[in-house]
Amino acid sequence: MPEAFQIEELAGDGTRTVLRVRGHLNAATTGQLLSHARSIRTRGHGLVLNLSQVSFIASSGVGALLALGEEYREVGLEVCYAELSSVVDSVIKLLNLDSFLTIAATEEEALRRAA
Amino acid sequence: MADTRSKSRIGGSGTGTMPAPVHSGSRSGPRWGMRWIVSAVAVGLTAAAVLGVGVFQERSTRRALTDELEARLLLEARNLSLASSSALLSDFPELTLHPLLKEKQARNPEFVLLVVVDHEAKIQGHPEFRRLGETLEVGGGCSGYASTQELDPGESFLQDDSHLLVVAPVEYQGQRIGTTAVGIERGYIDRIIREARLKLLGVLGAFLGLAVIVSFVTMTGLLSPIDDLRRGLERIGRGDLDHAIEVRGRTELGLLANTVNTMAAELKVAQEEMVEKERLAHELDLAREIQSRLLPHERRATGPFVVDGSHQAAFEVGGDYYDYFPLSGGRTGIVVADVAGKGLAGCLVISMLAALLKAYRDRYDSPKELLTKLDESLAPDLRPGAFVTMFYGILDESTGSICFASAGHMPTLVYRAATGEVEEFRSRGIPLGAVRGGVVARTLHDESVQLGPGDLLIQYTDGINETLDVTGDVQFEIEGMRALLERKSKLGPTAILDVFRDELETWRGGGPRQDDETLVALGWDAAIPLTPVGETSDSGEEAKVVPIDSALRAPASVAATESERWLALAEAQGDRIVLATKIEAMDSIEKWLRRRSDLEDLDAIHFDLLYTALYEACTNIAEHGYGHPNAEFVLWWLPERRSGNGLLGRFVLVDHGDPFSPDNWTASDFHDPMVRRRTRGFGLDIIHRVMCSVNYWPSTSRGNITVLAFDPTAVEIKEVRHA
Repeated sequence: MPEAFQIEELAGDGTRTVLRVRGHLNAATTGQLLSHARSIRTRGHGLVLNLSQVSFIASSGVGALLALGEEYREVGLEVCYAELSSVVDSVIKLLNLDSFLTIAATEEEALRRAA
Repeated sequence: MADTRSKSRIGGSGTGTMPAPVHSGSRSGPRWGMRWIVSAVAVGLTAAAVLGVGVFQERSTRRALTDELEARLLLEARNLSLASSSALLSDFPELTLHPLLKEKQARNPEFVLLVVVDHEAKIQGHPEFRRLGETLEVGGGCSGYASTQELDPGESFLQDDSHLLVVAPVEYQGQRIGTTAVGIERGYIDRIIREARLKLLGVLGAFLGLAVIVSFVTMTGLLSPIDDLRRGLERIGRGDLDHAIEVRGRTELGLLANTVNTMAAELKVAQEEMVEKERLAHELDLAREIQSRLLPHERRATGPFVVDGSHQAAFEVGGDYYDYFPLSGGRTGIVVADVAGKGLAGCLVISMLAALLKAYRDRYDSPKELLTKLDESLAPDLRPGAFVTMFYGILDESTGSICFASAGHMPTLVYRAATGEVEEFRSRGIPLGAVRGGVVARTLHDESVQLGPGDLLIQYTDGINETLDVTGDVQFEIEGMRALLERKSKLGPTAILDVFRDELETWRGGGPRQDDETLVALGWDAAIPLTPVGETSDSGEEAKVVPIDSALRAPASVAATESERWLALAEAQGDRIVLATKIEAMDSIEKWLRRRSDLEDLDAIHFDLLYTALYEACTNIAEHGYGHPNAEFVLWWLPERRSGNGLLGRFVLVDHGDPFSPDNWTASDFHDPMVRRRTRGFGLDIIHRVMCSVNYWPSTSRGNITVLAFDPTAVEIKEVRHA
């Protein structure tokens, strides 16, 4: 059984909310991530996505990461992707997506960048 | 409990004292004694009635009394005037009038004023002697009084604050020679009325007391059966349903007691029925459990064959039974049976049948002989009229041939992939136990059916074909089964079970099952070769990997096309995993990859990418190629035996879903914001960037074939730039 998919929301620095994602990011779970992240966007908060506990990412998960970046950018907000797990890192590298995603080595660095 | 009962008791029923409101919790509220309520109501009504009548009577009495008093005053005044006429003409009128008036007042003490004055206003007649000779202005300081009496000239009614008086003239030969006045205190009437009122109140009090006593005694008598009722109901409530409540009297409470007694008797019958039902339900649960334990709980995969079964129980436990099991020599036994008789009895027969089958199945290679032996063993223990229809077949997985015999069981249906048609093999035997004396054996015959790749054989009980539609008039029939098989057999044996279940559910219109529905399906996966004689590949549900060492044999045939050549090579030299067409099944790809020793040297990054690419390819087939979650397809790993870095091998996917459009793939342009917003459609990007070649052949004779070549050295991975 794959690890249960979980999203933990943290307050961040007041202007950005941190979401820590755990488990498989595939077609069955990306809907939850998109829904949660979109609710944060409607609050006017930027987003830091901590992906250190993502144990698998399918193409639908990649699509969700890209779409969130675009949706936030359109309303003047930013998504920062922090602490990519090795599987996420591998797929991002494979698809050369780093120029389209704002990536930080750590969650703290992502928040500092926001400040 | 005792506390609760005492609180719910009707207040004051046993003590006769006015009870305080008793609270028995927030839900029940205060309790009041009915007799007190009725008594209070009776008192209230009596008092209201008497007071109402009293008030009305008092008004009438006051009016009548006033009229009578006025008339009397007037009459007295007139009489006094007549009597005074001659006296006033005498020399000493006071000698006549004083005794007269004194006597009159003595007789009528209510007349506080009796006086006769002469024309000079001197008192000539008065009850008090000392007043004689005083001058008196009769009516002085008084006002007029409106009376209903008819007055003669000179007469008048007068009043002051405390008196009412009548003044009448004393005449002689038409000349007024004096005046008489008769008066009473105005309080006289009030005094009389008050006295009358006091009498009335006394009567009222007496009546009220009587009403209380009578109503209380009457209610006590009427309500005394309630205690009997309450005690009886408490006993019934504690489960003593034999207790009969005896209520004396002919009131409705007696009728209520009879009703309660009847109810208790009916409750006892219902309770006994319920206990019996529970006992039967327990037996049925037991039977269901026994039946469930006897049925296989997972499908059997052996070589290219998969045999799977399903049993949908009707409300009542039926007598259906099926099983499949390995036999020696790479064979598989398949049995489907239907016992005439349901419930625990049918279940016990199934238990006997299963035990006998287990004992004999390895001794007999001929289905006919096994069924004959079962008939001999089972028949003596069956009650008259009971019998068992049974199909028993033995599959030889090295040839794809199934030898079977049928004892009065339903026809066997075989879908032929080559023609798309369904063949029907009817039974020639009679049911086990139907006729004694070895007759059954003479009707049984071994028959053989040769299966081919993609063929599907089903066996079933009559609950399938006899399923009634929503009108209850039309059966599903074997024709319905044949039509369904022709449309859906390519989904494979496991999926076809779900298809039948769904189709029958629709056919019933959601109504309950009238009978157990048992179906066993045996399918030949066209993508997998036959297991050679002498080898067994009973890999089970989880492990569907053909050991690579055993796959070094030559392909069964020379493949004509490139896709078939790759598939033939994979079948000859590769390992496979069978995947269900649902996303959850894709997790098993990772486990399968990790078990591969020839991928052990792959670093973590390339392993993750390889798994991701295969996940995408397989998910694509599962999600888009099939409309059913329980169909299956096969993923082969065909390693290249090349040393050092470079091409590791090929993955060959074989599926029978709807083919994709073989459009040329173009890489997604991530510079386009619209592409970045679309959330999906990047699976092929991953596959093409991980695999060094991707080839797809739709709708070949072996299904849709995809060949993915994997070379970890060809995977380009650039460093990620951090913000």
